[in-house]
Amino acid sequence: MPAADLDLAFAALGDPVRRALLSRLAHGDATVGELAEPFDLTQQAISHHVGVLRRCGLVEQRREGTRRPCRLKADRLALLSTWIDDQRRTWDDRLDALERHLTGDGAAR
Amino acid sequence: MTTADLRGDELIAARHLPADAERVWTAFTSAAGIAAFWGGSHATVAPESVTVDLRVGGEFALDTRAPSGATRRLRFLYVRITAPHELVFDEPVTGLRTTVTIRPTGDGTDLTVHQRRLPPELRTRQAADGLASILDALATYLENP
Repeated sequence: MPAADLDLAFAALGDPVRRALLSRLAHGDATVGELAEPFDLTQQAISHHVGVLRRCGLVEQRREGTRRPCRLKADRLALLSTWIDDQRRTWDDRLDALERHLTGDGAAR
Repeated sequence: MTTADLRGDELIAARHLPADAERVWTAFTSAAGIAAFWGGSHATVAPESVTVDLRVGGEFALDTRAPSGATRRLRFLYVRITAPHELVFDEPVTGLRTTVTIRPTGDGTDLTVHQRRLPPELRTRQAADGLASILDALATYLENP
């Protein structure tokens, strides 16, 4: 995932409503009206948040007759966790190597 | 043993090391030390590629070589230097900020590496908890499609 896309996706997740929308969509597709139900927000406000999530690729919306259900793009979300896992793995490896370096130095003294 | 977690808005790796603080500090701030461990287990760092200008505003840089032969130049700018306890540096390309903290213990040192990269909007506890919950939701989703 290019860095600019990561910026957009992480920025989109910086809003509690948008995170709640993704959590809801993790349990199944839903229309904007259905998404709005648990919130004290207008459908327009929910539409705005869905738009932000669509633009960064975390959500897609399709047409089914008169309904326009939203779907979580889990593969896209997985890219974010992959980025985090990569960082974690890099430092795990690096600290293993540091420990070997320090232990080796100690033995050589 | 390393613990490495996404905790709040930070990635934190922590490790107890059987060496005194001065030696750990030297490993992080000398060309020989950086060459020895910066590549981790999957990349090598040629000692002659490492440059260190240890002053605030100075940089250290190195080439990593992956098993495929691909090399990458990494550069980091020193932001804060408090020998031998704290080292803060930024990667100018990504804005990634790394803070290395070295604390002496009875039999060695406790080393902590904090990494921050998330954009300003996410640098709140609430947002970080939210991100963690998103990843939990993802795991739940993947387990129960």
